[in-house]
Amino acid sequence: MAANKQEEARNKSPTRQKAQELHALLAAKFGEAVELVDAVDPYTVVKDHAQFPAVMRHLREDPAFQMDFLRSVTGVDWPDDSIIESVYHVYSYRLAHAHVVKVRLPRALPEIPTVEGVWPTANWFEREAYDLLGIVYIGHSDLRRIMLPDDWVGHPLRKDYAEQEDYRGIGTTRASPLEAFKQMDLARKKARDEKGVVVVPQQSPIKPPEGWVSPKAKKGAAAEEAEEGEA
Amino acid sequence: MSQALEPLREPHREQMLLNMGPQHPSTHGVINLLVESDGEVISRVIPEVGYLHRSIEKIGEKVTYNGFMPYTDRVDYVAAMTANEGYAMVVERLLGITDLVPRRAYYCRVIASELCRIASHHVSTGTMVMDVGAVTPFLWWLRERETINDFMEELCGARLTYNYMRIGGVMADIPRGFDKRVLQWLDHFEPIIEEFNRAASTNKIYIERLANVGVVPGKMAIDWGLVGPNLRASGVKFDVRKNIPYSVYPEFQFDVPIGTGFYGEVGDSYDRFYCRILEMKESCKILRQCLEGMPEGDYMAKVPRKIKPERDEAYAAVEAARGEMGYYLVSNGQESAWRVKVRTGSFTATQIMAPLSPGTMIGDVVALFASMDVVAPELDR
Repeated sequence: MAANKQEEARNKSPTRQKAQELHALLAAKFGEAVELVDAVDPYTVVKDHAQFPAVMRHLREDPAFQMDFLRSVTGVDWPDDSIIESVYHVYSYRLAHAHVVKVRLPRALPEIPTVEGVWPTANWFEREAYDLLGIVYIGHSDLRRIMLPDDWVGHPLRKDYAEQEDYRGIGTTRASPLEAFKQMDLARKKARDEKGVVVVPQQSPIKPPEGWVSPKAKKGAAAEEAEEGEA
Repeated sequence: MSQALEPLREPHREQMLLNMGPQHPSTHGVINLLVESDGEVISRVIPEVGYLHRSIEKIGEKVTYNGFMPYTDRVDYVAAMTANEGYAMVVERLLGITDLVPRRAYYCRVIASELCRIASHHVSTGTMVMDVGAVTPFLWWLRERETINDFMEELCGARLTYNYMRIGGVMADIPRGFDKRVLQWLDHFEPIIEEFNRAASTNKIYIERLANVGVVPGKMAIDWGLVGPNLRASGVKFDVRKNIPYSVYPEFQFDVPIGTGFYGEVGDSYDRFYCRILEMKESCKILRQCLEGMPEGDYMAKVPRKIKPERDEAYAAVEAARGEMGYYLVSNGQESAWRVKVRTGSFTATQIMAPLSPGTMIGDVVALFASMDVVAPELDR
């Protein structure tokens, strides 16, 4: 049932067929080095990392691809398979088609050459992937953290990331404010119980106008009347 | 006598480091531009970002698919509706329910998005005029933006972090009489654009501050991944609404304004500014067609309460106020996403400051940065 739904979703994707065609072109050139994985947006996995720079350059320069726009570079962590994927979304303004390329890197030492030379805009995207996932882009001109401070420990978008307890003396976690209110209520209640104080609800200092009857009292009177009537 | 014949002393040259930000008024949010200059002439600009990083992508991995919806409007709070729409679209693609979403819902989304685009361009162009020195036009825009905020409040109850879209449709139908009120406001608003142009856009001082400043040629804009109005100002005619059609946009007649070098070279700061003004007019056109041809029907598809897609992934892009806003979503058969990546226009627009600034003046950097329309939360996420 679930598998059918997945198949249905994939069939409805208008870009799926185009992506398969583009992959076929890549496979014709690079053969065994690339592999297609099906999804709503199918993607090419470059298995042979030595071929990776050539594949990316081919995407940009080949007349059949002309992928001049690098939409994003990002990463996905898969700790169960102990790999990290570096994901590249590319688009061609001239030919109006898009493709997704991935490389699967070992989680212990994820290293892959930079694509900065092909698309200059990769600079910051790769810095972000390095900062948040710890993927090292070899040959990058300025591989520093971008979102987090330079002396931050760990890469937050990894699934096993544990946040450091404090950063330069500032705590990174904080108790829920609701807990504090609960504690306060408990302490008050305890104090009252110890002293044996009976809490009387506060009366409003504002007096109601003359002849005003509260709805509650009215209801009571009505009930009494009804009872009398029955009697 | 001998003193007069002495040769003029060489001017004193020294590299000076200037911090613009993180709380400089011209950076519109907390961004730090490290400016290295010799007197007024800039030799290097290093943008330092991350001050507003709220780890929205990590939150996306912790909450349910529906639960992430309110976070998306915090991604870009100046045009929250388009950010909502992108996320709704990517989940719909992943579930394969794009064609189940009712037509009326798509129309509601278009109304909300286009109103939001106008409101966002109000802030962008208004603050740009203000950064260069004129305050009045900015206040005019904010007055108009208040009306849009009222409309947004009618739609979804909020005036800043609008949250109207849902996975499979929208939260509620448009209120009774809403279309009439918006049309009435459009009649009032369209002449004001001309008024604004007379007051600011055609002002000689304003033009001279912006024309030929920070010229981005078309190829450079593509190489550095500029999107939206910034890209179109460089003469690249690309709009996600036209070129990768989504929602019901193919049903509407509208143009995609591009920079033609209105007062200087193609791709200068003035082109980026004026493209946004022209885009507001196009949004008005779309709004009119949309409100007049609104279909009857449901505003929400039947979507299971518990969203749990199979292991799969998708990418969806919308034309947000700051250009292509892409969501890359990976699911692992669980109730929350495995990975959410938000690709935003401000990120690349800030990045291009580094290669673009050398050789310009310090005063020009303010105009140049304003013309890029960077919104700090969208940049840092």
